[in-house]
Order: sequence, then structure tokens, then C-alpha cells
Amino acid sequence: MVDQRSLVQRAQKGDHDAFATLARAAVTRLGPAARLIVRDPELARDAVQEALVSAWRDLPGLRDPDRFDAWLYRLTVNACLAAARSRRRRAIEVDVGVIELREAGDFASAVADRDQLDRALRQLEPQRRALVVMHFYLGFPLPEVAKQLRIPLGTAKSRLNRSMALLRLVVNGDADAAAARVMEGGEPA
Amino acid sequence: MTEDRFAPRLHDLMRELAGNDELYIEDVLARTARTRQRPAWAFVSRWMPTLDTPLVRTMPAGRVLLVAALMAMLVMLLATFALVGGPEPRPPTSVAPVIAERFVMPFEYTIPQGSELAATTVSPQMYALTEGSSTTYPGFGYEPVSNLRGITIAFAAGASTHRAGGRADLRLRPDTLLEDLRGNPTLAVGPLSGTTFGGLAAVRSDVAAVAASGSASYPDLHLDPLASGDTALLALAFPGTLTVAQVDGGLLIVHVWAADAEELEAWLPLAEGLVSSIRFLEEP
Repeated sequence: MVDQRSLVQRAQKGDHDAFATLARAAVTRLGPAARLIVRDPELARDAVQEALVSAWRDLPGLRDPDRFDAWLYRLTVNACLAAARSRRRRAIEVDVGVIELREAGDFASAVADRDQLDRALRQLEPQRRALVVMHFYLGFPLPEVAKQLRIPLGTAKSRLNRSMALLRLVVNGDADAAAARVMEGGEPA
Repeated sequence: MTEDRFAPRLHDLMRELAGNDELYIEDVLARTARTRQRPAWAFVSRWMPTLDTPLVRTMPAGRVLLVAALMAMLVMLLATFALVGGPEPRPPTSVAPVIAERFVMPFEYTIPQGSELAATTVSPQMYALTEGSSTTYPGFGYEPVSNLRGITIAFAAGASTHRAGGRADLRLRPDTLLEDLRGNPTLAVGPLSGTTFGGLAAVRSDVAAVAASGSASYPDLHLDPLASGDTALLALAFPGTLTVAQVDGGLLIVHVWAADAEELEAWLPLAEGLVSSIRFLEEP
């Protein structure tokens, strides 16, 4: 079995088959992460495509093949944030309104939970969504997330806490508290 | 629910929410197969490894910035001595020729007398002449957000646009590119007609916006660079025209637009005069 390091080294020398193997493995993680950050399947596909094309083009510049995964995630997150900026300035899709909170008793349904999480994620700024997704979905330690997003660790902690407070309220079904927080300014203090 | 119990639940919910849709990977790989890799020597970190030493990594961020600023000043000082000529000239409001030397295929042109057009070299593959404010997005592209009228000249070694169901590559010939653009549900492409651009045979069409409710597509073109560099985004403005000519290694695309149909009617003779004044300084 070929290890990832040697695949990266072969791809760096122009072996496209090696890159294809890496990309097919990566897209199963990159795609869902991009969809969670961008909240638009079309833009998420674009972002992943941009990231993979950039990865192939700039792979010879990657000094440490063992950092391939982290590097590829950074490219993807940057592409997602660029796509989100592009969507915002075109104003094609505008998320308006507060979270439509259900009664606490409805939260037995997993579908309802998922729907609530979807709405809650849409309330977060794309960079905060990226932070939550990288830490809780992709499993990166917070210092690594801060490094990837190029923000101080303290800022990352603070943003994560604020974002998680909103998500926790919504997913746990604390409807009144979440609604109050959202009405107060979009995110919990 | 405590935070310890909440985090794993959040991960599971996110996994359900993200779903699975990875069928487009083969299209992506087809695109990467057509993309040239940048050579290793083109990356500064490869030949200046001292920038990434343990010492630098452990430096406080402020000090790293100071070192970076000093290095940038040194580079600028050297560049001042090395460069012949100054910054790209802003087109004067006269009939004197202006040279767009940083475009992938340098050209000169003459702007209409009295015009307020201002030039922006968005990237080596995109050059914009606009009246009013414009917005560029380094590493991403250019969008004539609030311009009264303008002209964008772009180079594409490959091109794609949005369609229902995903982004689609456009065939790389002047006529087929415009034909394929009709697949974008937010864009109306008129009949094609023959014309010339910079002494090259070209194909021209009117373009207009279509209100595609519920569509996640956008009226734009993603343009691949000739060699290295970022893929450029050419966000189309309406109403307008697209003129496409074939050159070695790709296509030249000229996009002329105005704020409304009446303005376009007044603008087209001037814009076409400027476009027809374009003379390439090297063989395209």
C-alpha cells in the first residue's frame, strides 16, 4: 500500500495519477466541510474545485509533504470564504429573519435537530462557521484552527465560545433564550 | 446537555447536515490534468528557507511583521533601481496611445478624447477600463459593481461557467465558448456575428441578464491563467457585448457594458472605437 507522503512527493513531481488518488480521498472530507461553511452546494463545489486546482498547481511549493492535509484544508477554507464573500456582494442569496424556533417537545426528531442546526449555522459569519467546522467537524485542535485561519488563539477561543453558545442553545432546544439572543444582535454575548 | 456531551452530538449533526455529493471529482480532475504545475523554483520559500526557520517561527508576531516590513522595503528599494519606467500610466484624456504592458499580451490603445475612463490591471490576464468606481478582488477577480460603463479585456487558457447542477467547462473556441455560455441559466446570449479584434478574426454577441429565480448560478466566467497564477473571475455586467478571438494558447475576451440599454447605445460607438484602436505589441 502506498503511503500518503510518497503520493504527495510523486504528485509534486507532476504525477497526476498520484494527485488524483489524493484528491479522491480528500474530497470526501473537503466536500462536506465546504458545504457546512458555505451553506450553498453550488458554491461549495466551486470552492472545492478551486482548492484542488490550486493544490495541484502549487503542490511543488509545499515544503513538508506531511502537511499536505492541513495545507489542503487551508486552501479549501480560504476558497470557501472567498466564495462566501462573492455571494454576499452579489446579494443573490440573503439570509434574513431570526431562527424559527420550534417547541421544545419537537426536538425528539433528529431531522428537526438538523434543521435547527442548519438555521443556526446560517446565523454565523462564514469565518465563524469555518472555525466551528474545522474544530468540531474536522477535529483540528484550536491552536491549529487559529493558525489556519490566521487569527490569534485568543480570538479563536472567544469566537468559538460565542458561536457555540448560540448552537448549543438552539440544538438543546432552549428556544426562548436563543430567540432572545438572536433578537438582541444575532449572536450570544 | 453539558459541553462535553454537546460537542460529539454537534459533530454527528454536522455530518448528517453536510450530506454526500462528491460526484464532481472527476470533472475537477479533468481540469487539474489540463493545469500546469508551477515549478518548485517559483516559490520564494523554496529558495529562501531562512524565512521559515525555528527562530522566525518562535518570534513574536510583531517582530516577524517588522522583519517582513524591512525586507519589503529592501525589495522595493531594489525594484526602484531595477525598474525601467514607473507605474502603469493612467490613461490620459487625450488621443495619445496608452500601453497596457502588464497584460499577458501587451497592447496599446487610444481612448476617446474627453473620456474619464480609468485603467486597472486586475491581473496579467485581466485589464479593465471603467468610468466610475470599480472593485477588484486580488486573487479572485473583478466585478464592475457600480460602474457607469466600461470595457474588460481578458485572456483565458481555459474557461468555465455555472450551469444547473454544477460548473461546466466551456469549449475553447470563440463560437463554441459563446454557444456554451447559453447553458448558464442567468445569462441570455444573442445571435453570434463575425467581427475583428486586434487584427484577429473574432465572434461577437450581445449578452443580457436573465432573472433565474431559485438558481444558484451566477452570470460569470472563470478564466484559467496561461501558466501560473490564480483563476480569474470575470463577473459580467449588463447590458453588454462579448467579443471573443482565438490566440495561441487560449482566447481573448472583450466585455463591453453600460448601466442600461440607452447608455449602452451611446457607449458602444466610443467603446468600439477604443477596442478597434487596440494594437498588440507582440504577436498574440
